[in-house]
Amino acid sequence: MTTRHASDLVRRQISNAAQALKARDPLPFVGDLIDRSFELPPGDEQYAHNTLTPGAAPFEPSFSEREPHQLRFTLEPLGPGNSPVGKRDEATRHMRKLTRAVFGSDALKWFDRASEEFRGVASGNDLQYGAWFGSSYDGDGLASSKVYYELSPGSSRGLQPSVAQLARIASDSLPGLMPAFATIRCGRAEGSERVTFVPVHGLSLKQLEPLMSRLGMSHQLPALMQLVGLVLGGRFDLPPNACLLALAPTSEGAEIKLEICLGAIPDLPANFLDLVVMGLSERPRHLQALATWMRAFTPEQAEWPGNFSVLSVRTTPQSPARLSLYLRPVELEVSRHGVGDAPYLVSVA
Amino acid sequence: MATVFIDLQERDKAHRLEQIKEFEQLRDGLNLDQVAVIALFAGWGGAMPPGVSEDLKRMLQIVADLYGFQSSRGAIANWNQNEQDHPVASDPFIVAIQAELGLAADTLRWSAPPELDDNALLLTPSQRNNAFAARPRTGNGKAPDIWTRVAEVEFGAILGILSRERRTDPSAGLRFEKALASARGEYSDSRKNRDELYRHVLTHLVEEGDHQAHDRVSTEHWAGIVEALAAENIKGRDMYLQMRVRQALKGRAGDGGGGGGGAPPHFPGSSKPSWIDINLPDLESQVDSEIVADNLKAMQALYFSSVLEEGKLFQVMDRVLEQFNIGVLPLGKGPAGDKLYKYYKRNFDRFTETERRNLYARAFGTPGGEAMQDNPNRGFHDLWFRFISSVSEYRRQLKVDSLLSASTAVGVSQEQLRKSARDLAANLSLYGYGVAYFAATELQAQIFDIIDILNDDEIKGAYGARDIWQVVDQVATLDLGGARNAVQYRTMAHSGAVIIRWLAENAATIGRPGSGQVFNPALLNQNPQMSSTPLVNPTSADLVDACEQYLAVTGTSDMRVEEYAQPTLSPEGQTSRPIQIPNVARDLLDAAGISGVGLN
Repeated sequence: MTTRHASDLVRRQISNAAQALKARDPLPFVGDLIDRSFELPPGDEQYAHNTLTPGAAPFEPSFSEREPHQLRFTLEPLGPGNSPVGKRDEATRHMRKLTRAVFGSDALKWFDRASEEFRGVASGNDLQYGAWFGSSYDGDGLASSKVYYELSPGSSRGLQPSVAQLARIASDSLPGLMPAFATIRCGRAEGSERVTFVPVHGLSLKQLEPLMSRLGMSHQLPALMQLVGLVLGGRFDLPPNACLLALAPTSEGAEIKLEICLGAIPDLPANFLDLVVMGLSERPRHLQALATWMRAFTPEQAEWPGNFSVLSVRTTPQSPARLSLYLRPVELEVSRHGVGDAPYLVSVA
Repeated sequence: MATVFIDLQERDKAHRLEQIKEFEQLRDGLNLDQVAVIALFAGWGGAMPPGVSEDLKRMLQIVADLYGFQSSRGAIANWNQNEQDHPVASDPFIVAIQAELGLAADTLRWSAPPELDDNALLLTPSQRNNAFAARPRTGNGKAPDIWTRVAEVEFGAILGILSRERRTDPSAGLRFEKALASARGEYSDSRKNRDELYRHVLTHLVEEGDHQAHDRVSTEHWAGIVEALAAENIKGRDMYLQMRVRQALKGRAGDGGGGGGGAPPHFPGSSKPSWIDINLPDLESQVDSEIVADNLKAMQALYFSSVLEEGKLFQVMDRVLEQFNIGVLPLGKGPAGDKLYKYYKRNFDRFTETERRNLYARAFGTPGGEAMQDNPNRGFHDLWFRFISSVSEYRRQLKVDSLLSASTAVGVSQEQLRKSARDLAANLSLYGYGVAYFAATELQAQIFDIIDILNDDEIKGAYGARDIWQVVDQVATLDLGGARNAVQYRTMAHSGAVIIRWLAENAATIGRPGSGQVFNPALLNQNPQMSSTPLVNPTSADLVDACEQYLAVTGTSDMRVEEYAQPTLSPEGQTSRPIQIPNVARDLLDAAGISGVGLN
């Protein structure tokens, strides 16, 4: 059977993965958005020019130790050639639709208030990508949906007060942080907002100490360094444009999330995946969930699901460091040329 | 009303012009006055004088051809008059047919007289035979009127048959002669075996003709229609002949109306594609309704309202009203109280915030209102910024060209500008159908009311504000979670409304490529004309100003303006939407024999 649109591939991957992970089929929730976002044929080079997964069609499944059995993915809404504001508005519309339908009108009101500043007609003319849309699913259906709103360069305006306060603390404690995007998430039980920064001068893990101290989680720094140092083969310094730092208020206190763009690490160990497995060896259930998740995204004729693009580690004052992995499915790669342009990439093969 | 064989007329005009041109070239060579030549000829009584040069002979021959044998001084005044009643005697094609029919030049007219139907077409066979028997064999005598009518009809039919068969060149010799004989045979056969099919079809074509100064009939179409009808074995007395002729005319590609000029016939079931000339339809002439100015005016008001909505004007008004109702606002008996009370009493008839946001979402794709909305205008923002950026870029280009004293450098941008304007206007027009116009009038009235109330001195005094926007800022800051940038939003509202109004006022110009300049560059560079009412009749200068203001207050960088100004493919938009018809209605339409083409 010939595949006319990349959306057919994405749909098939999602359905297969949902079956393997025993999650409810996400297509009734996001099928129309996928169709609008992947109208071009698979492999069309226009897909390569995106900010979520440069060099591949912008669809990025992820595995998280926090939600090990969920089907999670992020995509850039609408296809190539649409303006950032168009993508932002599309992500917002779909988020509102799902929020109202699944989580109720109160959740929608909360989301409208939280996102109001990021989606107005007076803003957005200088955005690069506008927004991404993410969602996660389990056996009961939609577990959460989120929009990653690109922030205007150098501006953290519009953040909720608690998030804005965290942003101020981070900027005071760690010079060189530039706001990148704000993530607004609606779940079954609650909503949350997170702000993500780019450390423009790079980041040494030791530099996190003052910030984590001010947030009351300095005791989590050793575990975080241990996990990152292990999977990166003893590297504790991250070069510029190789990482993102995110902060969010949670019921357990502030949460720090460090996202490492694997393709931008110059000496990433060849046995990266082995080291990840080693890091998870103390948590065999999570390790087993990772294996299941990888099988879920591995095409029938392939040995591997694709390439890992991002490793993230998150921790709160009460939760030790836990990792997440983001995948570029092999079927959605556009070309080796495009892959070479992608900064966040590592092959698991 | 006379009937004109238009193809004969056009052929004659072209031939006359050729002859006049030749005459003038010869005259210039001989250095003779045109009037003198004609006077000379008239003085000789039309006979060719002996001993003249070949050129002068030719000139005299042309005069004879053009004026026939009755030339006189009175004809001089008509020298340049194209519309002569008789065909020129020197067109070899016409001459050949005339000779075949035994007609003289002065007996044949390309415009048949008004009595055509009564005197010629409805002749009884015996009358016709008598008329033909009486016809003169030489061209010098005056022909009887009845014969003239009949001869003209026959002449027209044979002319049409030969034109239809593309046999119009007598120099082809034997082939032309055979074609001429065959044409006479076809016409004769029509009279005998097909109940005068040619004559009856002509009767209906005359009825379908132009009906202006003349009934216009193309002999070629006439002959084509007769051939198509004969192929289906239709006879002259067929009771549905009129309908069949009409249908054949409608099926003709490039029909300009009636039985007149335009492309050759194209009949259903026609077996002769060679009849059909390549004469493509003007697609642009079919798109007058793509941009509906009234829809754009409705969208102007909706846009104005949507930006003020985001600037919290409506929310502030609701909050002021709420404070008035609970007695927090220190207003007693007076005009401010009157206005607020009146506004309050009418509040239940107005759109709610959710309803307004639904409208904005549908019209401009702005997320808001009901979460489950179908068909938001996803394309608006891109088209909006592409147009504004194009105007801004064009203006900058003009400035640069002006500095460099270039005179023509910007011409190429006009069509790009028109394209971006047309894309945007078509998008707005499409989403401006339905409730948009009515909602726009309602919202417009509401905005006037709100401005009137918030601008009231008592209200301003109650909030310690000096103008309406300070009231908005005060209330938004205190009660609505923070103020918006009032300057930014009111500038956006005003400039956006000017831009959309300009599109509405110039819908005809931007709707058709090549229909003149979108705006005159000279008017923008020197003494730009600004309108005193830019929201109603903006000039091009107002448009440019509005675009620059919009880009400035939204902080759009030059790099992004350049990027958006680049031409792109037009969106794959519809110009109208299919209408969903309930099954019951569909069944009824089917039962009535009306198919649901275009409806689903």
